[in-house]
Amino acid sequence: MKQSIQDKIELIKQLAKTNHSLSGVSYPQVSNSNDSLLQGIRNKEDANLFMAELDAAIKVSQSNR
Amino acid sequence: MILINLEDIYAPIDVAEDLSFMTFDSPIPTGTQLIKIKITPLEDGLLPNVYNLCFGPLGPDGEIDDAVSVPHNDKNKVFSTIILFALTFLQTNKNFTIGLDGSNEVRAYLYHRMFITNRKHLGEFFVSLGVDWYVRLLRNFEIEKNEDGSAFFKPKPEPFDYNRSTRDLYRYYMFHLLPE
Repeated sequence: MKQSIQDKIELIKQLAKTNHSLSGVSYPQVSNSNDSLLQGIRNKEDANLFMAELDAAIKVSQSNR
Repeated sequence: MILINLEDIYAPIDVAEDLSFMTFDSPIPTGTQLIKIKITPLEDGLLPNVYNLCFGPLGPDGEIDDAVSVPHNDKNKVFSTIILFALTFLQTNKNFTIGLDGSNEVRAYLYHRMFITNRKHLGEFFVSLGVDWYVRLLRNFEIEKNEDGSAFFKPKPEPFDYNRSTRDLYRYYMFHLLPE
């Protein structure tokens, strides 16, 4: 990775470390429940299957580079 | 067409300690527009290593309004800023995968074109994936259904097919950090 890009990443990380939360402002911890991915995941079994397929797709993508 | 250049981004204004959000100003014809990028886990906790990325200006309720169209002076720089923040998040959380919801036709077209146009540059850092929805045909030739009788469509991820045109968009777009 170019050093100039890594420098920008480090700047963001540094800002994160020095950040202080704004008083009185709370941020939601989870995404919107309307995320379309969740609509096809009913239970743990569906989730495990999706994650297994995701891991396999990632491995195939990496080997195809 | 969105051209990503991770060396040319807008300066971050505010960054959450856990990298769950970042804000920056995007110049527009009438001044600047504050943009917030948010990366959060999916709601029900069933996919613990999958995070959703959304971005946009803040609405009256203080939340991101990703439906509004903003006349950015430099869309390339806006998206480069978003992608660099995603890269920062994934560098810190190497086993996570980030998802972009393509349920909105305009956004899906944008993501699809962005992945294709920037294949080489993004390929230096990420593995790109697309997700389609499928319904299972059962042995009795009926389709798998939900409890309410509607077809049960399951998401199925695959390596992003760069030969796939924008007339055949994925439903969901994902990317994962390349191993070092």
